[in-house]
Amino acid sequence: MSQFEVYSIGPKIQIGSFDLSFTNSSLFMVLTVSVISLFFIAATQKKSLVPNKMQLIAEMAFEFVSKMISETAGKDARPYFPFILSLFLFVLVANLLGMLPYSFTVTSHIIVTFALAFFIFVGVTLVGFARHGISYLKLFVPSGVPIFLLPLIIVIEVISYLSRPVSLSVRLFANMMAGHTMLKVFGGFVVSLGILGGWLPLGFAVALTGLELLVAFIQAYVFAILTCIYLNDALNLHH
Amino acid sequence: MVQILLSLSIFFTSAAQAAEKAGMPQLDPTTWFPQVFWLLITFGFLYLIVEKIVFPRLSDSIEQRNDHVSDNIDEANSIKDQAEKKYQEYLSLISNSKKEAQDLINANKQSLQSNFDNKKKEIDKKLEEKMKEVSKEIDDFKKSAAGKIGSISTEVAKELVKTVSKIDTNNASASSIVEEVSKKYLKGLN
Repeated sequence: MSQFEVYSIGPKIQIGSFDLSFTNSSLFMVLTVSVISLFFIAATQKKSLVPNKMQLIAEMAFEFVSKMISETAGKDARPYFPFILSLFLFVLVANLLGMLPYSFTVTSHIIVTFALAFFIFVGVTLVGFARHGISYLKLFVPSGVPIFLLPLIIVIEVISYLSRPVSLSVRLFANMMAGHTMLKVFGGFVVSLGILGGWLPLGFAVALTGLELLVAFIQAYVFAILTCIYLNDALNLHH
Repeated sequence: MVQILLSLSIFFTSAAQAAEKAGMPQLDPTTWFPQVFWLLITFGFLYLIVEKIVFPRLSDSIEQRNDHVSDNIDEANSIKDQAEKKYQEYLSLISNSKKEAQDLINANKQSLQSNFDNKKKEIDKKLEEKMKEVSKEIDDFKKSAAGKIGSISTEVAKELVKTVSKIDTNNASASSIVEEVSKKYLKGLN
């Protein structure tokens, strides 16, 4: 489990009783943000009519997220586009950077994914109340339900709403941690079985690496699209 | 077999060791605060960059491209319309000139026909006149020929009678007989 350990690098920063030291986790967050920023700024430097490879990738990412938002949350979600785009890119690049040997996966820590999910949860709830006022609570009262079932349904709906940040964060964190743990276990087999028996786990490790790349993308996509769905609930009260 | 057993035993021991050692660094609360703090800073920075630089640039360039494409499509459509118009003009021009040519041919035909008819009439008229003249001539000739035939027959009859009966008949009685006979003959002829 050493690949999940957080240790501080550089000087210890302490404000009051809060430890704000720069850790390997912070380093990879900074790396993630730098990779995204540098790539996208470089890619959009020349706004050419016929895009070059970098601009094409940037535009593909843009259109991918744009399509995702308009399909799930509709036109009203336009103002939140930059947020969803940065969220998707942050999770995707953090997942992918974590695939490098000896690197650290920011999203394999429950506190990071939970912080993101909780921020989304609070933000979506605020958007819902700002848009619909107190009638946003109608979200918990589905239409066409018999009255005697309503108390039960409302309780279930409230619980499911409140468990959103938990499910959202645990899904991403568990996927990342499980994948990396598995890779680690198979990597350990390669070493312990040596030149004679190590080939089988090595093949598995290679296959798992491919699978993990897929999972890295899919989890970023799921994280972003669930955010869009929650946003859609807040923007267009469907019940 | 030994290899497999060995590997299995290694698997279980290493898994157990991992679980023992696990302690899950993720659940160590002392690391939570700095992670959230740095997450806020880095993600906030990323959001600013995406919102202020990346998003406007990308939406600009995509919009520009879409505008360009739709402009080109509009232009192509207008050119197509023009071509269609030109084609229609060409078609009407062709059909008009065809009509004109047909008219010209018809007019020429008519004038030729009338010319021909006129000429024919003229020639017919001339022919008729000629025919009339000729038939008149023939008639005259017939008439005069009848008279001449009469006098010749009279002479022949006189000579005949003279040689047969040795009688010299006078001209008058012979001619009267000839006249009678020829009248009868002509009546039968007519």
